[in-house]
Amino acid sequence: MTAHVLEADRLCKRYGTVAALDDVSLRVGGGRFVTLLGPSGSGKTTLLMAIAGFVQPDSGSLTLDGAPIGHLAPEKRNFGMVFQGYALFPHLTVAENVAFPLQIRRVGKAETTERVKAALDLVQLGHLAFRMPKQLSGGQQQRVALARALVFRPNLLLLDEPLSALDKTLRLSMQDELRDLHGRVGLSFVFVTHDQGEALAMSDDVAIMRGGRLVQIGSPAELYERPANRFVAGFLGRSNFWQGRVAAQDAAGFTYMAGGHRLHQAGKPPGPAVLVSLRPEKLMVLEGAGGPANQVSGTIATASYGGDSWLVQLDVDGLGRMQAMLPTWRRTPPHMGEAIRIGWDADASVIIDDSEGDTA
Amino acid sequence: MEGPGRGIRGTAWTVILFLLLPLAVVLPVSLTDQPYLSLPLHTLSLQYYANLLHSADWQSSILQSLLVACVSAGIAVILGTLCAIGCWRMGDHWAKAIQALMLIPIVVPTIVYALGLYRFYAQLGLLDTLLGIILAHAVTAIPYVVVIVSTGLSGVDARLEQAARSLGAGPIVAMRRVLLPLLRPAMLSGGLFAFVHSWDELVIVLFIAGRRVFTLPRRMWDGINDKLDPTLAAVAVLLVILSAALLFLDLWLRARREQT
Repeated sequence: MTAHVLEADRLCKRYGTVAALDDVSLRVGGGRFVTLLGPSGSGKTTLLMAIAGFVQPDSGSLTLDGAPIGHLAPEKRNFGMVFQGYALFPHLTVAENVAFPLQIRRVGKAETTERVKAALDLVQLGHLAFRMPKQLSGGQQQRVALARALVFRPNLLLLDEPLSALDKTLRLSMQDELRDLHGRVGLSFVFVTHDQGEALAMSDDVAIMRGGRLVQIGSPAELYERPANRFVAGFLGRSNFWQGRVAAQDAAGFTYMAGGHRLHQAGKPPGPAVLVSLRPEKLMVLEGAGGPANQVSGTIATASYGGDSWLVQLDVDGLGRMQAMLPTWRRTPPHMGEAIRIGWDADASVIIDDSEGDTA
Repeated sequence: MEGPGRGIRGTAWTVILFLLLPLAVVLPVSLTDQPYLSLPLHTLSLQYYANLLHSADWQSSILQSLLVACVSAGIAVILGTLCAIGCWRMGDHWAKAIQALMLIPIVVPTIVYALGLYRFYAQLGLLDTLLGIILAHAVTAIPYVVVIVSTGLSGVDARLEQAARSLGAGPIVAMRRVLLPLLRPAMLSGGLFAFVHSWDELVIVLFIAGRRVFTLPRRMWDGINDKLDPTLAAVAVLLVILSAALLFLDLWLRARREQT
């Protein structure tokens, strides 16, 4: 199966005074798993519905392999779609649901039977072909919806928060299944979710949306390690932030002053004032001499146990409240009021853009 | 104390008897041996049922009423269902306004409506025609269908239609293969109501029918005014049986809908 390339170019859509899509461009292809991630009202579902053909953008263009598709009705686009709540036809059996797109395309009876069986086997539901959707569990309905959206060999698979109705354990196992399915069918997936963990775990690329704009797109690791701005850094996982003023610059990096500390940072400063972001798991607790380039001392305010690590809130002189992730195998339990020294390497922290990403 | 008190029970039974007794009276009257509308005096007789079978007038009226009721119910179901689906798709305040507008034929007194139709039909040449009666009954039955089908639609996930579209079905196919099968029980139920509405409608018929069109209710009306013919009671018994059958059919359809 060849993977098609979908390109959205400068899509805009307004509802009254609200911009649901504000100049959004996106390229999906190469059989990649692309996730649209954002809080509710960020425009991610509107973007998916525009790709599917259920929302008509005010401006901008949509092309598939270079050919414009913006004028095509949803049924002419040949995109598979899995809906929130699955939208299985309640009056048809599982097999009839999956056969529906083939019957519409006037595929012969024998071939239909064969392809329905293959699609149901793909999602391990061959034995439930003659049940009614109502008789299936949420996870099984989900898989029927997937089989129905894949059986007609679509150009692209669109998924609108398909896992949001499942409980947590089932959601995690469906994540693995969906990843696995993606690998086997060789199609590009466009997946909408508001769950950061889900997006990081499943995607090749994550597009972060906010207020109708696409804030940043990249691999999960890129977004996590190099967030473009404060919104992305705060939205994907936890982060510490502080402001600093650049003091000196050399070949390896620069030093800046923050809260009375002289701190080191790798890379080049974007200007005289910098916003620094540091993931809690990159903070080390220091015992004895030596250690990383940046060292500060603080007092433990709270500590919560998380199995593999402690999440510790620290009050650091000059820098305020900071979060640190301390591996549980390293240390005796932290306790309130304990004074500790913490540190981080010059390349552990990143300089980010001090904007929320919702303005140009 | 459990349940309602004696007084309330007594009142309830009185009301129920008041509703049902007139129906019960019709049965013995239809079996009368007298030549006029009365209770049987010496013996029970089926002569008026036989009369009904042999009278060309009564038979033609039954056929006319059946034709009018079936065709007008069919028209009402098609138009009413389309209206309900349209409002369901729009889903905004305009849809609410249209649905309220559709109730006008129920709200306006039938006699006022019939008077208007009389003037209107005179110009269209529809007075005393089957077509005229069929159209009038269809229009006045549409509200029943709109209300019942709208209720059925409220339980339908709007994404089902989108799902059908995404799977390759055009709007018409999506409606035919997904929406209409799901609405079939509601449409049947609406159709039954439309049929019954037309089947016993008298006021409009009195205004716009003349010599040619003689529906069953009109024949009965004439019978009671002119001759006090006991055949009337025999017809009434058949009507009660038919209405009860339709009512039970509707109940059965509803029960089946709730099961699936």
